[in-house]
Amino acid sequence: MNPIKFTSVKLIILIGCMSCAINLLYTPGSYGSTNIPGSIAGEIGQSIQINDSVKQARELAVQALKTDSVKIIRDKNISTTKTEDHVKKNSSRLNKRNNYLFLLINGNKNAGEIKSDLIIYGNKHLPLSFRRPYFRIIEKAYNYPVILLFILFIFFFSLNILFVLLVLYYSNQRKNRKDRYTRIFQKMYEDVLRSYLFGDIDWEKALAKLKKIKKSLNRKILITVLFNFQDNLTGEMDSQIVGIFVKLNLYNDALKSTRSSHYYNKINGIHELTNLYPEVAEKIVQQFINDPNDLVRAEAQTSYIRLHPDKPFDFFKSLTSPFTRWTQVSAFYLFRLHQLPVPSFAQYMDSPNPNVRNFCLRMITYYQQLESANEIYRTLDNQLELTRFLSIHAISELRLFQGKDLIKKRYPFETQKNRIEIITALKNIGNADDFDFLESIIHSDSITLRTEACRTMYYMSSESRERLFLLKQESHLKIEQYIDYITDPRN
Amino acid sequence: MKRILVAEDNKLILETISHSLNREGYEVIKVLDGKECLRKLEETDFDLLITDLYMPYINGHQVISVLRDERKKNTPILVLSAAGAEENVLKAFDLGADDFMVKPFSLVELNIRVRKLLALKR
Repeated sequence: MNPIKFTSVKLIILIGCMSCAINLLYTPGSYGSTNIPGSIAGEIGQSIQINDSVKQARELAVQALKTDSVKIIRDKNISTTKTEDHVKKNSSRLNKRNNYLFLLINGNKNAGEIKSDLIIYGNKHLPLSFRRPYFRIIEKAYNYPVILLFILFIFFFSLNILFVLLVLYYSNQRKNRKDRYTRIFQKMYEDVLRSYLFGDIDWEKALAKLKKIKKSLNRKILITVLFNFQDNLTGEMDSQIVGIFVKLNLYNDALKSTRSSHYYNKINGIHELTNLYPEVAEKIVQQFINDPNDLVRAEAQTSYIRLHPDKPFDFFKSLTSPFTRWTQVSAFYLFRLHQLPVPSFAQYMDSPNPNVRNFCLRMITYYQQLESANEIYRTLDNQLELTRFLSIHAISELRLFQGKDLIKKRYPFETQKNRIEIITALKNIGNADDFDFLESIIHSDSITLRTEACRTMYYMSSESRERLFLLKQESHLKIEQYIDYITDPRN
Repeated sequence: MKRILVAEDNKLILETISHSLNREGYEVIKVLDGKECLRKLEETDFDLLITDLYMPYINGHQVISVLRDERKKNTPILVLSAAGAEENVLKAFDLGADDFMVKPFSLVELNIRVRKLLALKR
């Protein structure tokens, strides 16, 4: 639907709502025309209004409205009992209809009672700072007709919706205009650059055809086109694309982005420079290695790996900020994707950064760098549980038999998780010398450790398995149950 | 003139490949998705199909499968995709692709491979 038509429809609905509300307000007997505190009195007053001849009763009703009490009417001795009866009849008939909603919500309670209940509730349950505005709202609600508040609410609500619709309409139009503009210029730049890359036109001609390249948006479009070319094409064209980036001074835009206070601009700048102007990027990236923003830091670190294929992890030497787990994964992925030569990770094991040490331990294990054994043994005394765990794991995976006694010595001082890893490691590097050690664990109280020790003895060798079967004789150990558990393929 | 069908969802690459093959003297028909690719294959005979793996509606693997199962068993197929993982390459060859190139690619290399495939067909 056309937004303008839609808005006008909304306006008509709004006017309709308002007129309905006004009708309600002026309809005799409408509940909204009475004040809540004097509601009952007001209703009586309305019924009197119908019967024009009874002026005295109306005065009483008005008085009752002011004093918030129905009792006044009852206390006063009205001489004209006939009139009173008539009024009562009328009022009860109208009350039945008008008070239906009120009674539905509130039962038989007097409006004044609700007010006092609300005040008591506020005093009991609300914090002091909220009470004042809360009481003010109650007062206001009792001083103005509800229907008026309702109309005001509808009016402001509609105004709000109108405003939101207008904002949506104009922002949508702006976005569409920008998209159209981007599409047109992107197509134009693609055609011109393609012709230039294929040698159909020379640079002078291409430059003349690249319209409006001084505008910031157009430069961004141009960079996107260059990126697209570079992502998909290699060979001669790759160097030509970098040439275009330099010739058009687009690297200055990227440099400017890296100086922005917004992290996403910085990331864009680093990314553009890394891909399209590596010479400049090499100098820039180093300063973002310890950036306080996680995302900027991650981008700089992955860029560093791409820019320094001979020493991809040399930034570890200056890394003082955390090397997050997902950056580690990205780094590993990039490293493998570009098939970079694997460095010796032992050289970074002295880093004060625990993330770096842990990453190196993982890499040493993955790339089976046996020459790093001494560095692995050193980390067995590390304060961090995870580092010690990775070190035990490395000893196990690299089959470092010299490390077996070291981890066995550490066993009594280790955490439960690391104890399990030590027992598991013996599966790979254990022999007959370790049977007593494993048996002592089987005799311990911890079921988890006993299970792991049984598993290790079962799978270590045929001798160890025989030794485990011998333990079956000790019925209190219930070895059969453990064997059943560890041989179950689900475990 | 040899007719080559190129199915690629990236317009820039599609136009670039088309431009490059036109310069080599081939007639190039361009499509942006798998559905359109199958429609064109049904309508006309081609000397070669160059297809991406990840395209809207019907992917490259399905296109190869349909082409090999139903008809035109002799049309050579060159897959051009960024998804160069081993399982993708093996699957493509298993379904009947004749060649596989991983993006980013060299246009010079593409032209040579196209020439070879067309010669093999002959």
